[in-house]
Amino acid sequence: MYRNKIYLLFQVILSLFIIDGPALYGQNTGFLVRGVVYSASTGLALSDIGIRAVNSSTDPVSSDREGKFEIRLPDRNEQIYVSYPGYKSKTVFINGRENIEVWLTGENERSLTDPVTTTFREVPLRDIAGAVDPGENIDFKKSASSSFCQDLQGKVGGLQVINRSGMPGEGAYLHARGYPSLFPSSMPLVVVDGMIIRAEGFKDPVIHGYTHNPLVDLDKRDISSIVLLKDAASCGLYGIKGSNGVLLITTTPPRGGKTTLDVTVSGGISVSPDKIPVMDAKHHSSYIMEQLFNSGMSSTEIFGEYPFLEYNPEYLYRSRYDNNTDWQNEVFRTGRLYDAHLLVRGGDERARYSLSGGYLSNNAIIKNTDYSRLNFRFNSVVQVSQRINIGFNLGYTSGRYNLMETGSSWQTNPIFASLIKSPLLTVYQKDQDGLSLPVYDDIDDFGLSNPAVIVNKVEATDATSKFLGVSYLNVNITNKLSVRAQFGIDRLKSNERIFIPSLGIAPQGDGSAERSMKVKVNQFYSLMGDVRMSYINTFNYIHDVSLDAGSRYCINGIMQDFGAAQNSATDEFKDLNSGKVDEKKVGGNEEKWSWLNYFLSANYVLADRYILTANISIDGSSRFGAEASGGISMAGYPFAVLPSAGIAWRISSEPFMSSIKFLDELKIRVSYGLTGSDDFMSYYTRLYYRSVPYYSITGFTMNGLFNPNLKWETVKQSNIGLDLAMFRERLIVNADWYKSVTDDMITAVMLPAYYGFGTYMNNSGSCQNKGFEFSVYGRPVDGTFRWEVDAIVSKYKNEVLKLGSDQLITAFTGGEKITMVGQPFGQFWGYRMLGVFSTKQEADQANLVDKSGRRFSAGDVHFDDLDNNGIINEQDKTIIGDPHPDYLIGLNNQFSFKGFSLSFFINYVRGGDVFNYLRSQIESISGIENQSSAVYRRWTTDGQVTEIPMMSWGDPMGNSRFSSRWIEDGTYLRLRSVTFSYTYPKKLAFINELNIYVTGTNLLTSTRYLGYDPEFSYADGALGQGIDYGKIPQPRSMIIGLKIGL
Amino acid sequence: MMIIRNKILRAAGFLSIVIIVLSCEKMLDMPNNSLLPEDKAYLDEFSARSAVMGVYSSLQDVAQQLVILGELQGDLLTVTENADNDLRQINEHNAGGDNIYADPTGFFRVIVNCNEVLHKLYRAKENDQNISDLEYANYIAELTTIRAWVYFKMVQIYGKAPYFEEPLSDYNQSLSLQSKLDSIQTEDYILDTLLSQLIAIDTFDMNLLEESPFYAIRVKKFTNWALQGDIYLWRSDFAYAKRAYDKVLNIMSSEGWLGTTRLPYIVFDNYQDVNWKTMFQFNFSSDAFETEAIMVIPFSKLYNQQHSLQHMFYYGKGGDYLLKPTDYIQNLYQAQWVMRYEVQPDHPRGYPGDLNRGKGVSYDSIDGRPVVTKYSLYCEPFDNDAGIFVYRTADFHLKTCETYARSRKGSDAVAHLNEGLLYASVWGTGTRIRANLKGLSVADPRIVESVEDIIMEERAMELAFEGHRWFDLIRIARHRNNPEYLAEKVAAKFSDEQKRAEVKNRLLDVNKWYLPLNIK
Repeated sequence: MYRNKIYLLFQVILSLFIIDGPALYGQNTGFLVRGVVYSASTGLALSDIGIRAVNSSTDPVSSDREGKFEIRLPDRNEQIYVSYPGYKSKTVFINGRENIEVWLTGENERSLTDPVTTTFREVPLRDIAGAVDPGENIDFKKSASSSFCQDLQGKVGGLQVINRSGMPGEGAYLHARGYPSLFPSSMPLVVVDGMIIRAEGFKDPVIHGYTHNPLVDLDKRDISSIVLLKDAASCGLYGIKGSNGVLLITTTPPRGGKTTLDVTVSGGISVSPDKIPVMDAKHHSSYIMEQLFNSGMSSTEIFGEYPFLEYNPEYLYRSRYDNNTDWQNEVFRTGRLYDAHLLVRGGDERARYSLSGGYLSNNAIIKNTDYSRLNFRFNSVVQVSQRINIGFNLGYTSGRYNLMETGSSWQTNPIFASLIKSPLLTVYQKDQDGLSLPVYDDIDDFGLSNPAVIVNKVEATDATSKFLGVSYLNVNITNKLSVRAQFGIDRLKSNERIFIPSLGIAPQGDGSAERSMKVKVNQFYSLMGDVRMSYINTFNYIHDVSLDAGSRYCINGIMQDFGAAQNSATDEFKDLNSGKVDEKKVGGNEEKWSWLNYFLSANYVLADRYILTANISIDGSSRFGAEASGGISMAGYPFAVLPSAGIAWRISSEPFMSSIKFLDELKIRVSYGLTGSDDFMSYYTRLYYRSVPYYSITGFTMNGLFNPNLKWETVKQSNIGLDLAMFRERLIVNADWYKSVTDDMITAVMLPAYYGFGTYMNNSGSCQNKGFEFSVYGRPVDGTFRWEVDAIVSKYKNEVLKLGSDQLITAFTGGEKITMVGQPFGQFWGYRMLGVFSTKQEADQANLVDKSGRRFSAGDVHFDDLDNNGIINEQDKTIIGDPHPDYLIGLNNQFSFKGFSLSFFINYVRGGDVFNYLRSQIESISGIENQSSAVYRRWTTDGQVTEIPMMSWGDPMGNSRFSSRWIEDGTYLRLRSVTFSYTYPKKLAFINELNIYVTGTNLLTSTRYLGYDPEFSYADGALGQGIDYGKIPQPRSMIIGLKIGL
Repeated sequence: MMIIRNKILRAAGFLSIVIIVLSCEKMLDMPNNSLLPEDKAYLDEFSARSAVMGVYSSLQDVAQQLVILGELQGDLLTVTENADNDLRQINEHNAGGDNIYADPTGFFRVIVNCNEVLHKLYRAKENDQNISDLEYANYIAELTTIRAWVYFKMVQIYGKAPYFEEPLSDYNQSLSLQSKLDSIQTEDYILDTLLSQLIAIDTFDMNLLEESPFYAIRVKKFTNWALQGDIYLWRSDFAYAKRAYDKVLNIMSSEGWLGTTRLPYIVFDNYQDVNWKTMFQFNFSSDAFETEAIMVIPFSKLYNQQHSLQHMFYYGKGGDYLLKPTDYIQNLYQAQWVMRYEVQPDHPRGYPGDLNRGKGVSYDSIDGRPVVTKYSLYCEPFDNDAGIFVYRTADFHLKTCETYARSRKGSDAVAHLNEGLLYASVWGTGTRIRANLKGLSVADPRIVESVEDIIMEERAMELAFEGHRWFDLIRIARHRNNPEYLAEKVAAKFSDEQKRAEVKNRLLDVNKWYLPLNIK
């Protein structure tokens, strides 16, 4: 038996070289198969079903009224193909069986036999040996989000989707299966119609806190499928680009036949989440008094400097200060959403096309912020001859954002400013009678910006455009051998501008910028050529073989140019040109990199039972150092060699399993292999000089130390998976366990000071990601009334195994993160708060001083003195939070009855600590800024037990330093979407399809997080998560939509 | 059909060959327009010059740190209540290795850059005949002097340092030097080495940069002499120091120089009395400035090169007021007497105070707060671009006096201080005359220490807040072998009794004069 298999394998390899192999076989006498065809949903026999042999030319037959059929096949191992309109066609391995049952599933029901787009061709999930999520849970047609990536949340196993904000178009940060690298963004490789596109935005925007999201340029209504490749066996073909997983996206394919027209329109509103309670005018004015007393001013001095604090009806400017303004109301609004899409498909045998156009306009819940987009797509296939076809998939998108700064800047972040602005003040200037004038009030006596000016007068825009073009030529040299050449281009442009006026807004930077204007033009291009040869054949009915070999070459470039100016003559001069002459800056940079890849991939299925996939990828990159080791050298350049393989055993196809009737599919998969990453700074592997000015002379100087050994990160991935389908596929389970170890991880090593450059990048790190994904699909009730459930649970655990140095501390505004061996990437690093000293006695007992020798007393925060030396200093910092979530759950329920359907989707993220920077500012009780109403609970009298320390001017004891006081649990449970939809069941005159739906988004959120929204992302990558500077929170929204198919 | 198939096969074969052949070409080399690869860096005279200028620019990164360390550790500058912990530690002489002002990285970056260019500049010379031998020797001399100055500053700050001349840009190669790099050299070793280098480049043909306006911002012969004198004086090697300083005094006769421009001694016409402060305009193209400035690290807002000293010192718009002048220096200025009253028409005759250099010039009182204004003279609030002197004539002049005092020529020293007695040129004068102040005198010029004391007072007033004071105090304490001299003076700036005693005790230990050198 064993020897036989080896012999067969040998035969297969031999026969690869002989075209039309099966002709040599199949001369046996016929083998008669009897069978019955049933409908999986009703259990009834199906008549008139067409049945034919797959690999031989026997006459097709069809089933009789009782669903029975008989077909004579040339071989006992032949497969039959069963198809009927309204049902999914099915290929059945006869496997020597003389009597078979064929259960056909309806075309709208989920099945493991559904074709899944993989790198080379569509393959049913049941025949894939790697870990792949076919994206069947994804349903974005009815969602309110503007970027398709947001709709992947909780719907793809192993993919964490973190919405960046409630700003439309900013989309979500994605990463699959943890973080294989420390510094890069870790977004999966996004491949659209075979072309690798850029998924990350441009770095260092001039609009603080904004993230450019190139994925929004792809209209979700143009997407026909999204597949996530997760393990080495499936990503291995992408070599050094594949370590983060690969997201394969297919845009609407052309369809021949009658010309059809689909129109979709939707519109709705969005409202802001609950406001954060802050002090009202009365409380705030006494708060200011108390603070100023603390600062050492006498009441005469206070009233001298701030006369409005004194009750004096005669005071000339009283109307300016006698208010109780709710600043959050001045900033937030109700947003409006609008979206329209038109799709035309048609063509004949020679040429087919799909043409679409879309328009989207989403207003955010902050005044004067919105995103609008116009996009076109033209996909076509031209059949040049019987064996040759060419195709074009062309897309163009033009987008425009009206933005606000949403970073940690109190001067210009409208949300931040609205929380700290005193309610005493007025939006508009007022005359002595208290009547509002048409001019906004300027910055106040404390130098704080007027939030209403920020939202109404700051002009921050980003105009983006994207062209994505893929063209290909397919030549079928024989039925089994084909060549495909593909050329793609991805071109992105983003033009950011910001103007911040002087009136009403505090000066920025070092204080010199009373009004400032900045422009940044970012351009990215990517050109990719891909040539490959494919061979597909079936030998002796039981050996399905496919081989693909080819090469890819990709060049990329980023060009960034910026200009900044400030202090133009008036607030009406807004361009760079008008700025003050000696306060202008220009700058820019460019980066280019290339990737050359050779690949070979083999797939082999034996007798429908044993599946083998093997890949090898040979990769060169312009980013590798000339002396990179560990690979092979070709033409003087180092190349990484990354093999991967997967095997699967379909137990359910074994003869001994045939008696288990309820089991449709049981498959165990194991894969192992290497992928890699070259996502590190270019120009680090050679000595470069950059230009520097010395007074009016320009010189050049070393750009830093270089590392000619710098090489790819290698990710060793192993995966064990299970695919299970039961009860005529009414229950489908996919589960995967994985462990991936990153070797040669790029990390920054601290160098001795005498090198003059603090850090050095090398491959001395290592990390590991372990986890599982478990997804279940079930159809508990199936009939006229149908209930479908799908649930996905994912978990990853990230751990540093090796780091070039003991620890790596990364600072961000407001705090620090640490990465150290044995711990996950980027945990919060600060002081641990034990409580607030309620009595003097308690404080004396603890007997703690700060670095400068000042003593902590009653009302101060009790920080944990870890080294017990009585001094609270750097040595007392410890890990105070972990921003990585414990696990992620997505649960979707859908009920349908005739044309009605109701679905609700719940997303649950457990764990994941958050640094609430905003709260650290509005509970610091150290200045005159307005504070959260939580400070009513602050420590005031000896013996008071509270978790909020006393008020103190300037916070000399550092009570509001970065500590566990500001770290909160980011766990949340969210009713992400509820959709009610009605499809008119019949044709209506010339209308083929009519569907109307209502979707509510984010209707309910349950969390203990004290900020607006526990979900946000400031920067991509492991180190960027969990820091809340006050982005626009995600709104609650309600949309109504209509789809008409003509 | 067969023909078509063959054609297609051939096309496919051709395509794959193209791909493979292309890979042999530069498919994996991605040039960049904003970075210069090493093999293109030293090709011609322009690259040689630019490489040297790149080293100069690295001085800008350490200039501010040197001013803070040179003053805040001394007795002329102290912290305000706004100062952060790092500044407070420097002020109280208890800085840890993580103090940002104690970080030696910037100094080493200058040294690494110098070593790099010193080792590779010959390539440009070999490639381009336009670089004359003299020009090449000049570049080498400039880099050697910069390197020596930075090392000397490190010796003054840390008392020791690792010493190396090899380029470190290639980390892998540098690993073979590890033991050398890790071994910390003593002050004597480093200074001996530096002096021999400085003497080797001190030849008549070199360092004669004549091109305006770069004269003041580049190293020249006088920088070398100033540095040599500085090092000898630091080592209390007065004979050699005197030899270096005498070169300037006798410059008219010894080297046949003519004219008065660009000579490093105090010229009566330039910056006299009320015009004293105009030297802080940093008018690099004026002849007068070139006589005063031996070497300046320039800054310019217009050219986007700024520090933050104005920001740290100033009270008011654009200022954080972290540091302020001590009572000692304010009182010292106020204790002076202006000689002639005409030049100060606003004040009645005999009005006390150093009106040319003191209140209203080097410092001022703003809203009742004493504020260092030396870095905001002629500046708008956010300029932060006043130049930082490495050496200027007055510093040189007063060190000459110090050398003479220590060489048992006390009365010459006092006369030179007041009116520039020792200059061979008639143009030469003293800082007292220039500032229009009554000359200083001592009861017995034979008592070295009393002469030294008035020189130190004069240095305080002339050079306040320019980054000299702390090193001056160490130097004098070393001359006198008396730590108490220094400890006493520095401790005096603390009004808090306990803190004063604490600081004084700390400074009685000579090892505490030096900051911890945190290499790892």
